[in-house]
Order: sequence, then C-alpha cells, then structure tokens
Amino acid sequence: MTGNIGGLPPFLTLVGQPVTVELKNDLAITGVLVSVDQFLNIKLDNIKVVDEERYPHMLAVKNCFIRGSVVRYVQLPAPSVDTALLQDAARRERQQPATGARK
Amino acid sequence: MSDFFGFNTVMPGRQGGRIALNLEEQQELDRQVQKYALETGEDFEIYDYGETYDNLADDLEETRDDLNDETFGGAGGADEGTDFDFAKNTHQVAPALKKEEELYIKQSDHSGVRRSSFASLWENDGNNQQESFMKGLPEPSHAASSIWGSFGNTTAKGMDLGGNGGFAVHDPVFGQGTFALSRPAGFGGNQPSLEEIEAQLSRTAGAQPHLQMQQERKMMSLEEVEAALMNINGGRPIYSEAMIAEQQAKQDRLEQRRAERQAKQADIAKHNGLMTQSDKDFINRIQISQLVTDDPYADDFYCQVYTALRNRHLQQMGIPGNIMDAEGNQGDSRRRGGNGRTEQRMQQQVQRIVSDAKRNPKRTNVTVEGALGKIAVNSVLNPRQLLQVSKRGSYTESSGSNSPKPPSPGPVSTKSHTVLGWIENVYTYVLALEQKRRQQPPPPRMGEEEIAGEAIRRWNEEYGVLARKMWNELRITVPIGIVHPHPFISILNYSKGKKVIPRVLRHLLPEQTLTLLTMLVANFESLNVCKSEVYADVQGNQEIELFMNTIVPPLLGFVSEAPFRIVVGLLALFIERNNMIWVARSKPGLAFLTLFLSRAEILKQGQGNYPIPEDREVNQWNELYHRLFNQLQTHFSALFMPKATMAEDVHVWRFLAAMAVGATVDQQHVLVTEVREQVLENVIAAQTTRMSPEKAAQRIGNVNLFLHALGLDASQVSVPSM
Repeated sequence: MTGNIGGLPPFLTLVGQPVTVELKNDLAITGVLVSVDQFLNIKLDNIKVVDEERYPHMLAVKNCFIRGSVVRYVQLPAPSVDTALLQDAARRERQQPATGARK
Repeated sequence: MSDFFGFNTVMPGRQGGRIALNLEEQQELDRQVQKYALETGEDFEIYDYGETYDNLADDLEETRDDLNDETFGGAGGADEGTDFDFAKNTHQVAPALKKEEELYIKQSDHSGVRRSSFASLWENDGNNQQESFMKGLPEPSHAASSIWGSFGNTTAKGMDLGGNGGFAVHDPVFGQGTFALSRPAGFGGNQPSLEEIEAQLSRTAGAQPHLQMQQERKMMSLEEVEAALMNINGGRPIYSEAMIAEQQAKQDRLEQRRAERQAKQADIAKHNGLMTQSDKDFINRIQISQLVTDDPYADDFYCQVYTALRNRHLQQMGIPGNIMDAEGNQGDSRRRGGNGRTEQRMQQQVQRIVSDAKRNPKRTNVTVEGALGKIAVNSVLNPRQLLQVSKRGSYTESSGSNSPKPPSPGPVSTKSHTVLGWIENVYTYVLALEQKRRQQPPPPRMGEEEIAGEAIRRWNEEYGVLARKMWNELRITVPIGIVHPHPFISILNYSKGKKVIPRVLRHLLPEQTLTLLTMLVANFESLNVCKSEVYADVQGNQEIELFMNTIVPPLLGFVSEAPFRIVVGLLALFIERNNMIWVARSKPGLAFLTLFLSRAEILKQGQGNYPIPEDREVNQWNELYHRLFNQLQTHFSALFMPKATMAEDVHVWRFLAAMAVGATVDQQHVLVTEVREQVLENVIAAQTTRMSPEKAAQRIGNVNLFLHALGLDASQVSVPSM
C-alpha cells in the first residue's frame, strides 16, 4: 500500500555516510547523505565538489538538494553495502511486484 | 453625419415618410414580388410592412454638434497616445517624494501609533485588517522604501501577472495591491495575493533592523550617561548609580529580546488560517502513510535485515554501548518507540484506506463519454510501458530430462540459461525458507500446547514442502551419466550457484547433505574449478577462492562429524570416479583429499566421537590409501605450482602432511624423496635473508607441516653446501 519503494532501501542504510553523487551534467559532489526519498532525491550536507573545482559557483554552498532525475551515479562506500543481501532484496522485490503494480 | 464609411445613410423616413417610387418602379417591383411568390409558393402579402415605421427617429437631437472638436480634442487625438505612462511620471517626482517622506519620518512621533502597511489594506481578506491593527505591525515609515514600494521590482512583477498583454499601467505605489482589486477573478486568485504577501514580508523584514537600531540607540544613551557620571566625579565611578544603570540596561536588553520574539511570532501568525484542517490532515496522511508499513519485510527487506545483521555483528565484536540508541539517532526514531499510539492509529487508518482502495480500484484507463478510446492514467506506481516484452510460456520441469523448452543450438549453450533458471529457483526457495524461519512460531507455553501445536504443525508442513521443492531444484537426484556434465555440477560451475550452497545446506536434512556430497565427489573432476589451467587467469582464481570459501567449509563441518565408513565410502568413490592425478592438481581437489585423509586418521586413532573402527574397516581404508598412493606416485612434486605464478602452496603441504601421516615407512621414504627439492628450496630460501621475516617464517611453517608429520623438523634439515 505504500507501494513500490523501488531503489530506496540501500540508501536508507547509508544515511550519514559520505557519498559521491555524479550528475548528468558531469558535476560530481561529495557529501554526507542526509536524506533520500522515493524519487531518489538526495540531500547532502557539507558538500565539496569533486576534482578540479572548476565550478567556482559552488564554493559557498554547504548543503544541497539534488533532484533524483538528474543523478547519473551515486558512489557508495564499499564496506557499507552488503552485496549478497542486496541481491536477495532484489530477488524478493522481483517476486512481489503485485503491491506496486496494482495502484 | 450622412456619411458612414461610405454607405448611404439616408433613412427612408427622412424625406417625409415614404420612399418615392415612381409608378414604373412600383409596378416593376410588384411584378417581381408576384413572380417570386409564384415560384416559392410563399404568400408575400403578409410581408407588406408598409406603414410600420414609427417616426421615432424624427425626435433625435442631431444638431448642435459644433463644439464636439473642443470636447474630444483634435481629430483622432493622435498626440496624446492611448496609454498614460504613470511610471515615468512618478519616477520623475520620486526624489521629491522621498524627501517628503523623510521629513515626515523625522516629524512623526513613535508613540505606538501602529498602522498596518499600505499593501495590507488592499488584501482581499478583510479580516486581516482587524488582526493587524490589534497585533501592531512595525510602522512602514521606518523603512523608507516601504510606502512607495520599489520602483525597480514592480516592472518585473507587473509583467508576471500573466497574459495582461497591453497592460502598460503598473502602479508602483500600491505594488500589486491594485491588481488584486481590479482583477479578483481574472486569474487564479492566489497569484496576486501570494506575491503580495511576499512583498509585504520583505518590507516588514526590512523594518526589523530599524527597530533594533532604535533600541541600541537608547542603550548607547544609557552608557553615555554612565560615562558622563564618571567624568563628573573625576574618574571614580559612583557604584550605586552605575550598577542601577547596568541593571536597567540588562532589563532593557531582555525586554528588547522579548519584544523581538513577539514580533517574530506576530509575523508568522499573520499567515495563520491559510490551510483548513482538512488540508493539514490530507498532507499529514500522505506523509505518515509513507512511514507506516504493513509488513516491514515486504518493502524494506534490505534495510531491516542489514541493520539487524550489523547489530549482531557489533554485538559480537563487543562494541560497547546500546546499539538501539545509535539506531534511533539516525532518523529511524520516527519508526520506533515514541510513536506508539500514533503509529497504531496511523496503521489503522492506512489499513482502512487500503481496504477502501481494494474495493474501488482506481482505474488505470479512463474513458470519457464520447471519446474514441481510452486514456491511460500514469502514475509513479503505474508507469508507462517503454518496452513490449512477449511472455514465453513457462516451461515445465521434468525430472531427469534436460531438454530446455526454447531450443537453441549446441549442447553447451542450451544449458546456460536453463541452469541459471534453476539457480534462481533455488534462490527463491532459499529466500522463502529463510523468511519462514524468521516467522517460526514460538515454542508453546504451558497450557497452550493444543493451539500452539496446531500452528507449529502447520509451519513444519509448509517448511517441509518448501525444503523439498528446493531439493528438487538442485537436481542432485538426477542419475549420473545421462548428461555430461551433471546438472548439479553445472549449477556449481556458476558463482551464483556456489554462493547459494551454504545457505541451502542450512535447510537440508543430514542424509540430503550426504547425498549432495556424494554427488559432488562422484563428479568432482568435471567441476570447472578443477581444471588446472584455471589458475592462469584472475577470474579462474576467483572462482577457486569462492569454491574454497563457500563449499568447502560447510562440507568440512559435515565430514568432521561423519563416521568412519562414510569417509571410507566417500574416498573410495572419489578415487574410483575421478582421475586422481588430474584432481590433485587443483586446489579444491587437494582440499577434499586432505579433508578425507585427516578425518580418517582422526577416527582411526579414536579421537573422534565414534568408537575406534573395526579392523575390517581399517583394512579397507589401508587398501584405499595404497591405491591412492600408487596413483599419485611420481607425481607428488608436480603438485607444486610452478614458481612463476607465485601462488600459495600451503594446501599442498597440508595434503602432503595428511598423506604422510597415513603412510608406511616405505611410502614416507618415497614421499620425502619426491619432494626433497621443494623442501630444500624453501628452507634455503627462508634461511637466506633475502625475504622478510614473516615470509620466511611462513615458508618454514609450511615445510614443517609436512616434516612434523614425518616426525622431522626443518631445523634438522642440513643444508648441503653448494
């Protein structure tokens, strides 16, 4: 009834971890993950623009909200993700699409 | 007046009542009318209007128009233009206006005459006026720009109020207030008031610092007084008065802060009542429904299990502190305690909503009356299909038959996706079994055994069904020899298949595990990790490592509990069905051999949980051993990897040790002779100081594995002088 949560669960366990988000406009931002929602909109704290801060307009920005649709990649810290568990979670979701498709 | 765009405007009645038609024309007209009447069959007599004109036009005042030009200006009024440019005119007098305003500020007294800002007078909501009079907003006169608005901004905002076309009049005085009045229903009423509110807020925000400055000015004056007092008394402060002054200052500061807080509250409260209770409930419901879940495992499997695993991990590692606390800090607190009742209520609400939704499902297709076809309603949960995938008929399983349903060329490729399909099915069952385990009904308490027993029985049944299905899916019971490689082996050839085995073993009965092991042993050499050329590439190594990590340990555990005859039987099978030389060159093969050998030795010496085996069995074992030895003879040194690959050879040494333990003296001789080179090499390498101490120790240790089994030690090895 909350419907299909989609790719959300792994991010829920990563709240508080430093991640790097690469956007479709080639901007890559590192920051601490504050929150995620069902559209994979991302809020980052204490951000720092990755490699060659040739985006000087970002110098003064400390926190940001990124719309989910502009994200290309999210780089996660490897030890924070349990890949086998993730595979299982994906299998389960594949088996239960009913909750999502109905609405 | 007689000329209307070139048309003749002479009215019939002007010339005295009737159109003067001469006789001919009249007759002609009558003839035509009659002809027409005959043709159409209409009776034209009734259309004779004749005398119907009522002569009212004769009474019109159409004279005395001489002064028109003076009243209405020149012809067409070309020089004025139809638009009046208020902004430009106001701009020209702007400085004057500002000066006047400043004068006014200086003259007016601040005795709490609080008038709400101009713009608020224009708000649509009449109630606010009363409130703002009560609460007392900061005077607009404090911010010099407030009364007249800001000239620059209004142009942009004025144009924003969409679709006004030639609306060149924008009134900076009242900002958007006039727009609100003049066009209340024109465009959605929200727009002007929203911008209005914004403008108002910015104005009042601008007013705050002025308020503060005032107070500070008062403060300064106090301190000035203090300083003045000090000066009068020749530098020595008069304590009493100074202290009083200080206290006064403190109180003033407190009051000032309180006033600020009140002002801020008033600011916020100005916008109270914008949403109705139902609006707020609506939004609350949406937000909370996202948090409350029916079955926590359904949507949030990963999170729950991950955090549970991590907690268990942390507990095992003995990290101090309450783990649940750390959880709560990370924003999960809204799920857990502290919500209690509200959560239950929300859950009930959500369940009600769900049941309602189930009864009346929202249609994904909307059909409007009279439209040709359906309109698909897309949402987040019902997204637009991008790809059309045709469903294949699901293929039926038949035990033993390996013919896949969609035919594809070549025996190898036909297996790949079917095998993968089997593996995924196994995963499905494993997940279901694990889920079942989690939902295991608690052991019955005293007196409730009947009811609880029923639940337990049911649970056991379901569990058994799933376990059996999983077992079938593994294809272990498929008889050997029909297809090469054996389907179970094919499953094990994939890393996915290897990873699932430890989890499978947890749900298998002991005899099933034995069968599994037997099957594995019987077909060992067809495993892909058994090919020795696999060592060459990285992926092969990974597969081997995976095998060693996933399959060997649980089976090791199993074999360690196994009785003697089983070990004997397994080893016999192993030797019989597999080419030992081939198998022994691989890590897994050696691992298994070592496993069997060591276990047998332990049992023989009676150190296991089983009684010492009978002689018959021991003889069988010895026979087997000899066979193995004979097969491997002369090949022992070849077991070691070529030094070029720098691979670890601990397992080889371990195997040799296991062999040595069960060997007769002659056999031991043979062993030593064959691997002498290797032993010497390692010892020499360790003793020359070219490598790091850890590596040297490791080398020595490896060699000692073997030598100790023989009753020797590395230190006894005398290095022959070169």
